[in-house]
Amino acid sequence: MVKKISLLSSLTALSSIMYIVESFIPFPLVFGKWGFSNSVVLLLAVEIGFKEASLVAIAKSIVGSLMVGKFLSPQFFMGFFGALSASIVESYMSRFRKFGYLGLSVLGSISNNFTQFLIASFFIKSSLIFALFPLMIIFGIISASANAYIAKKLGGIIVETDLGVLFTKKKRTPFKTGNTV
Amino acid sequence: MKRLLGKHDFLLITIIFALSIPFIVFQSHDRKSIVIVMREGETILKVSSPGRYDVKWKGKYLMKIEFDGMRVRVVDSTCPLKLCEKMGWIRPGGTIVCVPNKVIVTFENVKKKYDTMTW
Amino acid sequence: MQKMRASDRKNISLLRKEVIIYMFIGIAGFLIILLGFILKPPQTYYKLKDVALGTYVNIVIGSNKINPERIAKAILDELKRLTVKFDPRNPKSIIHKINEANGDWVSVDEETFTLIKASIRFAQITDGAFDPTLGKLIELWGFDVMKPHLPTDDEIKETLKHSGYKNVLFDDKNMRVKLLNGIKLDLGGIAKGYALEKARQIAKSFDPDVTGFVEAGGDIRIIGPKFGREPWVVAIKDPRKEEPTDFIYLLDGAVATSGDYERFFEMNGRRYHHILDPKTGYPARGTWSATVIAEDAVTADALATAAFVLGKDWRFVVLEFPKLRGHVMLVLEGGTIKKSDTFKLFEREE
Repeated sequence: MVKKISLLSSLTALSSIMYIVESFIPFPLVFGKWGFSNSVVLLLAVEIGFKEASLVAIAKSIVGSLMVGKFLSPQFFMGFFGALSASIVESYMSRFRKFGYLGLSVLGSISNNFTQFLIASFFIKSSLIFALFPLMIIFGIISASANAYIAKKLGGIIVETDLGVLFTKKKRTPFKTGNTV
Repeated sequence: MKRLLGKHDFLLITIIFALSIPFIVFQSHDRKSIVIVMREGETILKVSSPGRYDVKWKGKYLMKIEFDGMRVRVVDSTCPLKLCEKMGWIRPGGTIVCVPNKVIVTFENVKKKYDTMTW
Repeated sequence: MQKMRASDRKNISLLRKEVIIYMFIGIAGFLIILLGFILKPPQTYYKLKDVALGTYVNIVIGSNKINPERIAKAILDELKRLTVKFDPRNPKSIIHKINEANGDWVSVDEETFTLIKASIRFAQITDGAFDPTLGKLIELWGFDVMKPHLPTDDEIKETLKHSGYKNVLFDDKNMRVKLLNGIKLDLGGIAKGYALEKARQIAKSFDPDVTGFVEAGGDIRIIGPKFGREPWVVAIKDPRKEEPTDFIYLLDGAVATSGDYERFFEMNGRRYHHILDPKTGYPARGTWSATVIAEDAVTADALATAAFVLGKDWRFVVLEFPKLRGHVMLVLEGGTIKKSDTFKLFEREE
């Protein structure tokens, strides 16, 4: 239990820092970020489960936005619900053996972007912003690829430590048994 | 740990690209002309279908404009010199000004090759 | 040296592969970040269109520090103030007061004094081609109330006597002006330029890095380059068609055009327009339009009027006006275009 808490808190810290740093790297579209902090959420969604992934998603959104001073701003709500939706999609879809990290990251990114646009439309009362959606998806695929790689590498590092034991067999839907670690 | 690349990953990405690219390419289709009438920086009338329209401000009748779907002109004005009527038809990019009525008749969001014109 | 074992070779090639992949990722990441800097979202410009200075005004402002709407509204307020102050037809205007003073000395404020002085200076350097004292003639022709008609030769000759920039006297110490010989001031050829200069000053006072432009009745004053670095693309209207005849690229400065198509009437197949030749009292002949690029809007405005009047003598205009810091393009009667060499520099896109 202690191990789990320490893993989740360090990952939350890591993810929050990524959130802060990536807000300084300019993003080509009007709003939206690169979303590297979601790689941690992806890792947890795939290797442990929905509960842990969503916990960190919520925590890093709050901590990260507090640190950059954008807590409760439109950006915060977009990031918060976006990351949460990504954790739902990623943890659910990872049960099937169809996708690797890349595919799951892409699915999570689509869900993230879609949710962000939905939230954004509450703040910007113009249907014109949806014109940016396809472009956002394309950029999302690029960052999703990076996230997949980061998640895998990060997972590899964790597995080599004592904490890797937390990446245990997940409860899977009973049509195929899979190995995990 | 799960693998980095799964069975259907690239298929997924390809499908997404295939679906999004057309949306991006066909973004800039020709939009219908919309005429706007402004007074003191505020838009007081917006017209998108052809016809004759009264231009009123705070209940007072100022002038009548006629839109034929592509061009617009002022057909009746309460101003003394009727300079705005004499302008005749204007196309997107053009402007009719009625100084006494403080009214500007122009088109909305026209993509032009230049930022402004000196005349 | 020992022969490398198969497993070692395999490890080395794996290591090389990893290095290559990392380099690839590093370069790709770097390029993506670079892309982020290049494709920075364009600064959105706030646009305000309204009526002032007796014509259509368009204020385009961009600022990263201050809300551009605030700046635009402040500029509009100033333009409206100046409209009232310098319109000879408005009884509240200082110009009206001076014109009705019957030759007495009139005390004016610094702004008015400076403007009238500047207008006389332009009259001097253009040898009277620009003349701010044609008020009586403009009234005679009816261009002031836009009920124009053709006066008789005698009427014109008589009214000419009541014009001329040399009839303006200044009392520098007390800031007073006096008009001789019953002349009347009409600052139409310069007031717009002055207003545009004030507009720019106001914008800069809010935010020194403000960009955009202000235009009024076809005169344009650049406040700052587009997105901080690009030139604004300004079309020059064809004097006989509703489309551009040329394009210029301005990072700063001002441009003004005087044309025979703004206020005119036609009689017996002849066009009588509102830009009068101060020497003859009749509309200046030989030119359809004159466009002047200058560092400030007052110069552009005044020199555009002067260039139009002198247009027939285009060789002189094209050579001499750059010396007055005005880069000129003339569309002569018939449609021929003449430009000063300095003007051509502004037609290049860099």
